[in-house]
Amino acid sequence: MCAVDQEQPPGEPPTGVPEDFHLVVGTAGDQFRDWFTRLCLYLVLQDEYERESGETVIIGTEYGNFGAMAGLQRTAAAKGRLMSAQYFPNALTSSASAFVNLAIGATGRNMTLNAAQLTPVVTLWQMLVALGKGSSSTGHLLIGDVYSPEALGDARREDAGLPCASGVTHARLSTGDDYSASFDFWQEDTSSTGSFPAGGRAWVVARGEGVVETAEPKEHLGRNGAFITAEFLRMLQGLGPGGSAVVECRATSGKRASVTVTKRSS
Amino acid sequence: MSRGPESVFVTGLGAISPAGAGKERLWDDLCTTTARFEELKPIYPGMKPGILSGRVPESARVRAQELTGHRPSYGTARSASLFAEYAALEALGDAGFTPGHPALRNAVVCVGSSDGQADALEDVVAGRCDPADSGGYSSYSISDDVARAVGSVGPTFTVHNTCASANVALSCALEMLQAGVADTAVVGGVDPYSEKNLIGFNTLQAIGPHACRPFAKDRRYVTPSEGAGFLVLQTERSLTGARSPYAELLASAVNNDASHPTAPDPEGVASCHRMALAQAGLEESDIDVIFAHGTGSRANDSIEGAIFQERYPQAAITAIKGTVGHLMGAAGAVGAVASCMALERRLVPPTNIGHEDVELDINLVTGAPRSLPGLRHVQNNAFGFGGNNAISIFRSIT
Repeated sequence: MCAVDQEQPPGEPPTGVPEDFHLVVGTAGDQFRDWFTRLCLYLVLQDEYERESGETVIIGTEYGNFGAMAGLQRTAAAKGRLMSAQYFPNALTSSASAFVNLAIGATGRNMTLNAAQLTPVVTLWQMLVALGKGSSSTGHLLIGDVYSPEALGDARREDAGLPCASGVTHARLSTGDDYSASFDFWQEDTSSTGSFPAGGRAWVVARGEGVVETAEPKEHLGRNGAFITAEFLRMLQGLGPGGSAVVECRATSGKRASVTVTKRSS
Repeated sequence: MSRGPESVFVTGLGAISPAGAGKERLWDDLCTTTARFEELKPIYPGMKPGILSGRVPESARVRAQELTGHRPSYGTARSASLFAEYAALEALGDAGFTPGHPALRNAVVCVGSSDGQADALEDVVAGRCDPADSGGYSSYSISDDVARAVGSVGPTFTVHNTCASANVALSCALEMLQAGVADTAVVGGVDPYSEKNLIGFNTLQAIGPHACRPFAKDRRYVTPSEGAGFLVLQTERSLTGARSPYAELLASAVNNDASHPTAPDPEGVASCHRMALAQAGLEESDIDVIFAHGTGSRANDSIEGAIFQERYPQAAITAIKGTVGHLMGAAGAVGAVASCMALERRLVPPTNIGHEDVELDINLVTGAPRSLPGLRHVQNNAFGFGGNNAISIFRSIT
């Protein structure tokens, strides 16, 4: 995961960017790209392994490339016909996905999806279905947001009190039968007292064989699903055979979704 | 018509486009090649006047507002929600449902869009509106608005794959129904007029004062447009028999070129064709009709046309963007709506160019609509910037 503090003076990079960032991503196209695309590129490019053809890329994000989209509009107003044509491909709602696919030569299924606060679970669903159908043996899951002023404006319009921290989580998944997953989507009963505010939580249900210490339950109260996804993925890495963990997300609308992942018994 | 419990059928259709509000208006314009393009006023310094675009007419907006009860918080922004709700509700009624029907409670709602709530976001960026007064411009708000309108609390999300978005949404919905997440899906595509999009296309010199002429020798420009198309999908076990389905959705394949940010790649596009056929269990020779992506650009039509010429010589090809323009993320959705109407009516609407203007040796339908009494399989292509490719295939149920 890469978490950054985006609220810097205009033109300044966010704080928290890894030291090797430019070494990994380079600077080509920097004047056209926003930090969401850059973080996605960093995360997939710093993951060194033998790449295959036909890899899948699924990006879950609420605001994606809003930064570049707003930038194009402002640049057009300022520069008019002198504006470079290179802005446009970087300023689409799915630009990050396009440049990730290009950077790693991923020719399989790809998509950018937005399910509000349920984005982590729906993105995981799409990834597991894509791998399960056998069209790819490797998939890149990217979940998160880098909040531009326009993104913050929308997020705070809906719930001014919900924290918006920038960051993106990446996981590379491979086909196999080491884990199984069970999904659930439901609407909270309107008479419920709602003890679980919008955001996400993850916990270990069973630690599995040979594991002595159980990871503490984690809760993230905020819009960005990257954080709870990262916690959940760490829990999965710590499971023993037969162990299982859950990530559950809840939207401000009361919609909920969860996925329970179980590691196969030995 | 049974292929097993996972079979998924199209039971309702809806559309709003420059042709007006309703799928029948779309169909009428397609069959008569009635184009309603208008000249855009320059929207940024240096943009030339006279560029053509397709807009949803005011009368259709009024009709949509009457049906949806949608009242924008200011001006005409959040057009994506207005168009999507209208088309979804039309599709719902066409399938024999009313909003809130028990069959819709857990329905999957999946919307494909390239530009999301573009007009609302652009008003905020330009300082024409405060975010607090915008009504919301996260793209999720489109699918959420549709879910509320139809009465679903099931899985709801918006997907973005540029101009292939709607076919990707179809793919997502098909997979969720086949996996048993729900028995009904309300799925489609939408895109509103977007200043940012027009600016971008203008910097690429892809739009201009002449209308889109798909597969014509003298083709030059894309004609950007706006609107929405929606479909109601149902699993076989949920069909009530109240209405005969339009078609079975056999496949919706998705891949990426990973080749160039804007230019299509011949091998990527060809690969997507192969994937769709494999998913549907068909051969090229089984495809009777193709609703081409057919943007009227040199690059797209050359690549797509070469595939048709080499691999699909028997298929009747049509490209509707010469009549309704390029609805961006909704292009695949209105193509899917038209595909299903073609299957029901055994009729293929023509492409809006003369027969003598066709560049390649392809079986392009021109002039009058073509009757195909034995029509069985229709393929619907949608491709986009970023190497996005998605192809859906529908089968007649009779």
